[in-house]
Amino acid sequence: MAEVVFNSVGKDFGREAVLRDVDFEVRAGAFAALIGPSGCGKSTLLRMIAGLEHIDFGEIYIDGRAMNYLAPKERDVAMVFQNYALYPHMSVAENMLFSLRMARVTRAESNERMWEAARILGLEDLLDRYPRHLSGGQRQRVAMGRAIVRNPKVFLFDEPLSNLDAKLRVQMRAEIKRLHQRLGATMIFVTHDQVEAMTMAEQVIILREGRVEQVGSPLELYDKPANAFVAGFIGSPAMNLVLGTFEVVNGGPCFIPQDGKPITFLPGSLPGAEKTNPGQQYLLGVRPEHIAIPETDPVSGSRKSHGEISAKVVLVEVTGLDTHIVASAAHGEVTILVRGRFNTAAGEQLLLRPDFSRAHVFDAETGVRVD
Amino acid sequence: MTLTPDPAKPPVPRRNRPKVSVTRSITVYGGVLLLLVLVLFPFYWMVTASIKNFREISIERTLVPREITFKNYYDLFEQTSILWHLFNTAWISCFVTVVTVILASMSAYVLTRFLTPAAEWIARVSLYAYMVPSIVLIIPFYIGLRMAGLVNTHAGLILSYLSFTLPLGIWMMRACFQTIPKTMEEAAVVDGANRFEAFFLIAMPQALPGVVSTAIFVFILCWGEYLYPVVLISSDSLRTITITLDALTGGGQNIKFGLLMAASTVATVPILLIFLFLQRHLVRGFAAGGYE
Repeated sequence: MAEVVFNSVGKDFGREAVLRDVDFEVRAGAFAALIGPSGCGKSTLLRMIAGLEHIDFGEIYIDGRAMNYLAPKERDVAMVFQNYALYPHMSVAENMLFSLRMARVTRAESNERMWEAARILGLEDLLDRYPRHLSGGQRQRVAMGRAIVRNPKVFLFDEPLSNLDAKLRVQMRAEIKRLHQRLGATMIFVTHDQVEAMTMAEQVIILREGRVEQVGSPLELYDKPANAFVAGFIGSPAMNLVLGTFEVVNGGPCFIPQDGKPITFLPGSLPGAEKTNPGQQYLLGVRPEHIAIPETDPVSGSRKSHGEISAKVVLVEVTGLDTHIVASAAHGEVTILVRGRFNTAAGEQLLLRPDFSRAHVFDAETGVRVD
Repeated sequence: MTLTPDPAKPPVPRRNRPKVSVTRSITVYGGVLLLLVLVLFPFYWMVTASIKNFREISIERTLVPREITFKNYYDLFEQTSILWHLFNTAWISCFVTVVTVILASMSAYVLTRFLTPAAEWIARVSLYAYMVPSIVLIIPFYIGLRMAGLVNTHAGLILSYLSFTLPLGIWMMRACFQTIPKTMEEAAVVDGANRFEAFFLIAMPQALPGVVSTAIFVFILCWGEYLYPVVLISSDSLRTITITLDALTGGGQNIKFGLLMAASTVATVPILLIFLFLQRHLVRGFAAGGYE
């Protein structure tokens, strides 16, 4: 087990800066996920840990030792590649033994470690096969086996599940998680899939355009996103973000969307609203699952009460477990997530009641959270 | 409800079965046949003429030999040093092939994996070097080799061969390495291999089809090279097979066709054997290298 520390790490490709001031620490034995949109530098960062890319600025420490000028083989890390990168001319056993052969480990010990890894991953019957004869999931397992036999300080995974079909991906997700629990080693996992990051990791690092946006546990990122980018990135469907100003109208606080009618809320019910300045623009964020659809009286029809907004249904997506509704309100489109079934159709009018106590406020200019 | 087909019902004819037009087939196969005849007839003539007697070759000009004789072969081995010249050609071709494959693989690897901006330029220059006709370079080569004391030596001949086999080899091997994903070597490097180990243990085994096709091309080029040996080699003992064949034409006067055809057959057999033996690899190399 070893901690991995990034100290002001930076990287340039030609004149373009791909990583800047990356500062965070992955605790020893932790399962960390590096996540961000494509091109944010997450794979580059992983390759820098492995020694496949030069560290242009700052330092990376593994177990207290600076890695900057160490060759990949001196770093004691193992990596699982996106396309598995199995050696096609070697059998599964030879693939797994390759690193031990390079490390001049004795034949007896190599075989013992290879069998142990094969047992953990259920590869015993495939040892004589060649990669071309394996299915996607089996190749994935061999790639992990190749990493396990080395017993490295740190495991690196570069989007290892992206080539698998949806069902297998869920299965392998659980398998990697179990592997982490069994080995207890530090694992760093790169993904662009936030569900993968949220379900697997205990520490999530969000990157955007080469900078770290937030580091924290999955629930921290979900409950308290540090900025509007993280708020929009984490959670599916994505958080509703509305641009507008906070004003006091008729003695009560309200949020006035840029294109829309004022939305009133009770004083003190919206965290961060008291710290806003009148006239300044903010983003009000409400997660789709934090918008309720109050039942309307069929006789009297809908009557808006405090903090409610009316919207017209545009699209209904049913997953079976829950229902996603996209509705058009005065300020723009809103996504609502209803647990279970909800009977509605495009064109219907709905009343929406956002739960302001779980809403988020961000500075529109800097994107930083206000609270 | 069952999903198995009902045996009582006749099978539904497949609608989207491709319809092959008869005229099209005849045109295609006719064309292929014509091409085959054009390519194979000279070979047929060469082999049959080598086992005909003088009368059948020069006067009667029979298509199928009426009487088979091996006198031409007997005379060939008796009167000329063709076996010795074959040996010269074989060892020079083998040596040049091995050196080319080793140097070209390593250079091509570097050109595909390291010096990316300059690599394209260097690779192109090497191809241009290959495109320059030998006849243009032969005089400078002769002068250079004479200064080095290498005229009329196999070493000089080998150097001159390398001047055209290396650019071709680099170009072919580069095309081959470009198809091999870099990640496997990166995986090897993370697994503890150094660059040489990643090259020899991971990249080269995957480049094998490319290596085989490069080797065959280079070998054939060397085997059939005429201009360099005719200019650089003067001693009979150092001659290569192409010069032997040339000598048998007797400068266009009194050509001994039987002898010449026997010598041509003997010169062709090794190449043919190599082709038959490595055909599978060669086709794979073409497909993998993308230089079809």
